[in-house]
Amino acid sequence: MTKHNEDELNANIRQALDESVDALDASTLSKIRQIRAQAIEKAEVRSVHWQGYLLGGLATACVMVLAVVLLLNSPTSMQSVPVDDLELISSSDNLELFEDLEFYEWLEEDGLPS
Amino acid sequence: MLQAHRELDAFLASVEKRAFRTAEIATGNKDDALDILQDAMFKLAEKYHDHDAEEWGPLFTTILQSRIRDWYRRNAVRNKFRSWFSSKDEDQNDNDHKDPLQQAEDDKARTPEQLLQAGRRIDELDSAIHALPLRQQQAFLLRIWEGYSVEETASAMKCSAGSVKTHYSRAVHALREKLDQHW
Repeated sequence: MTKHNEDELNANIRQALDESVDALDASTLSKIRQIRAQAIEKAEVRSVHWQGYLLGGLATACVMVLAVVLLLNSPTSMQSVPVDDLELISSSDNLELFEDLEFYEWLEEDGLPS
Repeated sequence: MLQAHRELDAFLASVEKRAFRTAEIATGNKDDALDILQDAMFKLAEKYHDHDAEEWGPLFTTILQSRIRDWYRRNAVRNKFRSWFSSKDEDQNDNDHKDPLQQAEDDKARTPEQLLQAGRRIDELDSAIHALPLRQQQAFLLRIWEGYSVEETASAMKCSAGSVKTHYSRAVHALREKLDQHW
């Protein structure tokens, strides 16, 4: 087959294929359009999911940052405990001794009763 | 985001009919062609909607050709099982079923004369291309109809440029022999 013949054959085939596309019936075209609409819907759902994941991640990160900040600034935080109190907490001595500490100090100043 | 979806919609609208016809020629069946088109569109929309619009064309072609190959594989397995378990009569019915000329529907309500003139040429071409091996069909349609280069065709078919040239050349010669002098 010559190049000219091949080009002519290809051009005729291309034309016939284009005609076949133009000649698609209404029912088929309607089904194709429905498929396209569903595909776009899927793309939109994917985008919404992706945005949802992003927002969810951001919200979680914000909550965690807030929690850490609050914990660090909390009055019950270890950093805010006075050194004396820390000694009290960590002591293994009887707590009653510390509760009556002022009494024992007074007793020591005034001397023990004979 | 809305703009991107509008672009995707416009892209799919620009390729959907050709894609359907490509699948229909390959399968010889309208419903299977619609299924393949749906799979290809859904995959592009779900996985690649956020890619650059210039990438959609090659991606969609590759997905579509891949889906057509999958259909051929499944069909080959199905036909093997049929040939094992069915009688000769059923085999004959299956062969009738596969012939696109036997299956050609007329839902355009045209007159017999119009059908003869307008439909015969397209049916003849469909039948001739459908009869080609799948790789020859793909190489021929991508090169002639989609206007793809040898390299682009090779990429879509996932084979070498040399294979594309061979498949294309064989397809042209086979079609020349099958189609009559009017072509």
